[in-house]
Amino acid sequence: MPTELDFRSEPPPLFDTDVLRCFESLGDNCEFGLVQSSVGVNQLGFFLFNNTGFGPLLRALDTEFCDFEDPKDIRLEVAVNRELIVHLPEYDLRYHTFYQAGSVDESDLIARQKRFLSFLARKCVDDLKSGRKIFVRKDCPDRTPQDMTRLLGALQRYGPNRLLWVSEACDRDLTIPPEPVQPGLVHGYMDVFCRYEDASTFSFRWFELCREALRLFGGGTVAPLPVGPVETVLSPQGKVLSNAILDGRTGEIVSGETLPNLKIVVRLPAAVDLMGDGDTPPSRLFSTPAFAQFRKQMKGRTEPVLIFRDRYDFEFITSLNDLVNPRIPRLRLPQNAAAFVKQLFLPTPIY
Amino acid sequence: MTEAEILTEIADLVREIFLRDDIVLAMDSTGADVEGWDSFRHIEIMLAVEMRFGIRFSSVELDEMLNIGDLVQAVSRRT
Repeated sequence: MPTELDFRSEPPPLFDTDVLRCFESLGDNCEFGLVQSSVGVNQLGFFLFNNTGFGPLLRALDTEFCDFEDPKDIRLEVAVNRELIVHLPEYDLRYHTFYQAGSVDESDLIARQKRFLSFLARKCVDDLKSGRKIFVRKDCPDRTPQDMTRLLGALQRYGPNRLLWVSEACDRDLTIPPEPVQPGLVHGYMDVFCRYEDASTFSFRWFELCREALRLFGGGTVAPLPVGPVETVLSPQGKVLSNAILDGRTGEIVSGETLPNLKIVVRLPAAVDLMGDGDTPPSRLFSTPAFAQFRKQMKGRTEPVLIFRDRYDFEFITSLNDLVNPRIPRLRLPQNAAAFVKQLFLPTPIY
Repeated sequence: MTEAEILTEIADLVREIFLRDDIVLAMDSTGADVEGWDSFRHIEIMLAVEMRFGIRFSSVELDEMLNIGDLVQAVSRRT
C-alpha cells in the first residue's frame, strides 16, 4: 500500500515562476533580471538591466530617485560591437539600448531614455513603499554585513522591505542554506556569478537560493497558484506522489502518497511535457506543427504546468517565454529526474 | 468607454509606436505576438497609454499586466 507522507516540514515552493515574482533586482548587473525572465517573470524594474555600483545605489535610494525625475546628463557610448550604451556619469550607471550606432537618431534616443528612467524610478519608489518585494543585491565578495545593514536601512525608510544579499560562495559549502543576518536581511551564496560580459549564462543555483530565501522570509507574498487539483507530482526528494495536495498559496507539497510501482503511467492532469528527447535542438522542437498547435491551445489558459529540465540552456528557456503564455506556471525538475519524468509523460503526452 | 473602445485606442497607439499598420491586437495578445515588443517598447507603450487616458498605473498593475486584456481592464478601471 502507498505510504502517507507529510511534507509540511520541508516546504520549498513548487513553481519557480511564483517564487521569482516575489523578488526585484537591485543590481549590480542584469544577471538576476535574466534569471527572472527565464521563467516568464518580466516585471519592470529600475535596476533590472543596468550596471550599478553600491555607492550610486545608496545615493539613488537616499535621494528617493529625484535625479531621475528629469535626468540632466545622459550620454550615449558606442560599445565595441557598435551598440549604443546609455551612460549616466553622475551615477556611473550603464545599460544597453540594443540599437546600433548610426541606426537611430541619438537625440531622440536620449529623450526617450529620460522618459524611461523617470518612469522606472517612479515604479521603483512605488515598489519600495509597498514592501511587497524581496530586493536582491548581488555584489563583490568584500562587501560587509555593515554595508548591507546600511542598504537595508535605506530600503526600510520607504517601507517594510526585505533584502537578499547574494555573494559568490568561494570555498563555502553550498549545501548550507542562506543565513539570516538580521530581521529583513538574508545572506545567500551562489556557486558562481556570470561574467559581466555575458550575464545570460547564469547558474541555476539562483532558483534554489530564491526558494530558500523566500522560506526564510516567511513565504513572502506568493500569489495564489492557478493550478487545479494536482493529483500526481514529483516531490523535491524525487518521489512520485499520488493524491498530492498542494498549498494553494505557496505551491508547497503538503501531503501525498508514494507510488510503489515506478512503471505505472501517471501524469499531472494538465501538464505538458516540453522536455523533448534531450537530443532535439529546441529550435527544431518549436518549429513543429505540433508545437504551433500546442501554443495555440495555451493562449489564454493558466491551468497547465510546463515541465522543463533543470539544466536546459538559456536559449531553450527564453524560447519558452517567447512562445508560450507567461501565465502558465513552470515546474523545473532536477536533471537526475529527467529519465524518470519521461516514464511519467511520454506514454501519453499532450504534446 | 467600453473595453472594446479602449482596445481600439490602444491598438492605434501601438501601431503608431511601432510605425506599422499591420499590427492587430486582441484581448489575449501578448508582447510575444508583436515582433520587437521588448521591455523598452513596453515602457514606451505604458507611457503612451497613461498620457492618452490621463492616468497613472500603479506598480502592482504594471506587474500584473501579462496581456492586452489586462492593460485594457486596468485602463477601464481608471476611466
